[in-house]
Amino acid sequence: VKSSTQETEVKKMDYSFRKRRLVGFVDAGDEFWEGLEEGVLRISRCAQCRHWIWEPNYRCGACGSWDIDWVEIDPVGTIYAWTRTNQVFAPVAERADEVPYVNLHVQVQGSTGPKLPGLLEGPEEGLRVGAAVTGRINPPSERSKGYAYLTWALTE
Amino acid sequence: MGNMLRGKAAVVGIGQLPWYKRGTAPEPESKLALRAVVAAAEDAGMDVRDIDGFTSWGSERNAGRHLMSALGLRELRFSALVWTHGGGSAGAVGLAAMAVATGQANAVVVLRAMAETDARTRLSSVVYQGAEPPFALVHGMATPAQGFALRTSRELEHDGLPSSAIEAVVEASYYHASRNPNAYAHGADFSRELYLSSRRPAEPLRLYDNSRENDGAIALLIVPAERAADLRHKPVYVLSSAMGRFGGAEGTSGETSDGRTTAGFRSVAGRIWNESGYGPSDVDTAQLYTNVSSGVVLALIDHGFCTWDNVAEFATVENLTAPNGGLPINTAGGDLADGFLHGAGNAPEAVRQIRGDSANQVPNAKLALVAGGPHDYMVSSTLLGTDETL
Repeated sequence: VKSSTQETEVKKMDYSFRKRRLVGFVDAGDEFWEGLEEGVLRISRCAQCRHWIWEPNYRCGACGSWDIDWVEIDPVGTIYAWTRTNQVFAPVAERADEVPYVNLHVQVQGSTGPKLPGLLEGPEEGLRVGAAVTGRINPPSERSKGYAYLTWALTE
Repeated sequence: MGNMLRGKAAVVGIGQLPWYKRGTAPEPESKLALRAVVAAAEDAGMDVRDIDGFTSWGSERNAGRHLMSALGLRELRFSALVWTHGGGSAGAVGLAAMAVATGQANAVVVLRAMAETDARTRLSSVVYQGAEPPFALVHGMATPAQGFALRTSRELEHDGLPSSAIEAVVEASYYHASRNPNAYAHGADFSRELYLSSRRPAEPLRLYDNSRENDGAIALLIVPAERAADLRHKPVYVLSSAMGRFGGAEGTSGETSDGRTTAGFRSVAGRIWNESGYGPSDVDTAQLYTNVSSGVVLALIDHGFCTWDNVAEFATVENLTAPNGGLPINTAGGDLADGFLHGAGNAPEAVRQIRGDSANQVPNAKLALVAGGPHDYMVSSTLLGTDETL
């Protein structure tokens, strides 16, 4: 048992994001980042009442359950909001050569579902709130601060 | 219950240093803080050593314990920070009022000081934060300008926010600054054409839609109402103050069950009106925290000054401008054009309006609203008034 625990620990440390974690106020999203590094989009849902829990957290505020499932979903949704960055901002200067770039909040799993972050890739024609997009998972890199990340393409 | 704070405390002193371009303050931050506190005591006609409490918000570094020896304070009785960023700025006034109203302290200063003359002293609040920061950071989002621009796209394209209303907030702010010699943007070459042609750091917003940090320091001195009458200025009473956040929303998203975005003030505004006995139509002027201009328009809607249906008619330059507008806002120039210390300039301008000595005086102003932090994780509002409003 002891050795398998150690193996698990070693495996966990293999995730790129764990080596340079960006710390926040809740930090309950490890399974999301692990999923992306495995090439899978997983979001959190209450195991008891099936309420989406997003942003990730440790307890379901709807029913009080502490049991949380990480559910694989298809990376499809609609644009909830967007912004185009036209200048280099120092804390994210790794993406200087991509300026201008467009960030999205993408509504997945219908109107009560989570809103996921990501960058727009491909043609910008049709960029608007409500437009349909399909997502792609990108491996960790310097420009994404060692985390796997999401890009989305317009599909209409 | 609900009106225990009403009229129990008053703002009696303003200590406000000149605005400096960010990173160019001639003195260290802590020294600016001391000067502002001393100036507030002098403005009130009070011995600075009688100050016994401090409040602030967000990432303020100048805690009372660092200031008290240089101020010669006899005792420190209250020292507290309102959580969150600019959303706490109006709440810090309420917190100080609560402290003196309950006898925890006798003279509390609301303080904000900032001198970012060294890159290492840049406040953490300039970086987009949250429950799960990599959501933003790994995708190239790092600043409030980007986060608020994201929100604004939703408001413009989905909620039906008129761009004319956003523009009116900016124009009213710069108009007031042009008539306020103390404003950082006084004498600035601002015009509608300049606004429309300005670059867009993060679309859909333009450069002039964004507040930009200054160096400076501001202190407001608050004492129990019974003590205020003996001091130099006409007391400015705290009628109500509330801070909070509505339930059920994720992150900084302001989506509500009716599908339209909120700046976060709906519940806070309801409490303000309940506790004070006044409503939006009674207010003479509003000093509304401006991280970005669009948030101000939503703050107007949230507080009930107008609705989604009539916001285009209400939020015009004429209506938002002193002395003749229906609701002059940001009459010193506000966070966009007076100066930006994370909202610290708004409460002092509300106090000047009630005293009657604003550079853009609203005739016979009796009630002034101060709101902190539209779009923030938590927001706050405070209603100030003359003795006639008690």
